[in-house]
Amino acid sequence: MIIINIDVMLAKRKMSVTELSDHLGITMANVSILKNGKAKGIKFQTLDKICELLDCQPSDILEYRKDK
Amino acid sequence: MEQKKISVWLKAVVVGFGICGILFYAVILPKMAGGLVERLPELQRLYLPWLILALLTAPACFGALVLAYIIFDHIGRDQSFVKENVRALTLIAYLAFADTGLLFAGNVIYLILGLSLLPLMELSALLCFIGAAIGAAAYALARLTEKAIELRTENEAYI
Repeated sequence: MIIINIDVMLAKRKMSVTELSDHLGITMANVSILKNGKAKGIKFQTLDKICELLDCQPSDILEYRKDK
Repeated sequence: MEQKKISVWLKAVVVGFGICGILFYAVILPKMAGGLVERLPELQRLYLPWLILALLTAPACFGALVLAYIIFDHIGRDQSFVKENVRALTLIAYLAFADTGLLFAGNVIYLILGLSLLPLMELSALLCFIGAAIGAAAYALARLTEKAIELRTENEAYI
């Protein structure tokens, strides 16, 4: 399964979810869905903006873990 | 043109059609048929049966107009792809098919009863064709709208 590590990166960069929401131009509710891994998918555009804001690589945000 | 403006225009067209429909069913049709009977008294026996059949097709036409008004109102409120529109379009299709069926059945019954004429049959066949075409178009639109709702819902799941 794919794990979203936005929380970890936000903590590393000392940024808030509100800042991320403002930068992405999406609602807090949608950021929350994304953060909790409830989204069906993520657009490249969104991933690009996240990487831009957090100054990181997509691999820092997305992680694959084998289902147990 | 803005969606709201389009909606207003479409609603005005529907209201216009409604007024024309009322005039046609209440005034023009009886007068026209009456005038025909005056000139050709041998058609007297056809007058009432055909007038009743024509008037029986009215409720479905006005029902479809009301549903079309509701759809155009939704479009004005930027709610083109909603389930209410799918239901309304499907209902319009059923009304059109029902009206077509009614007209066709009436034609066949009147033909058996010897209450039909070739020009009336030709006109009815044309109206049946138009009714079936409207029904098919409305049904196809309903299915397309349903598919569009599915695609939009799926798209919204991608952030």
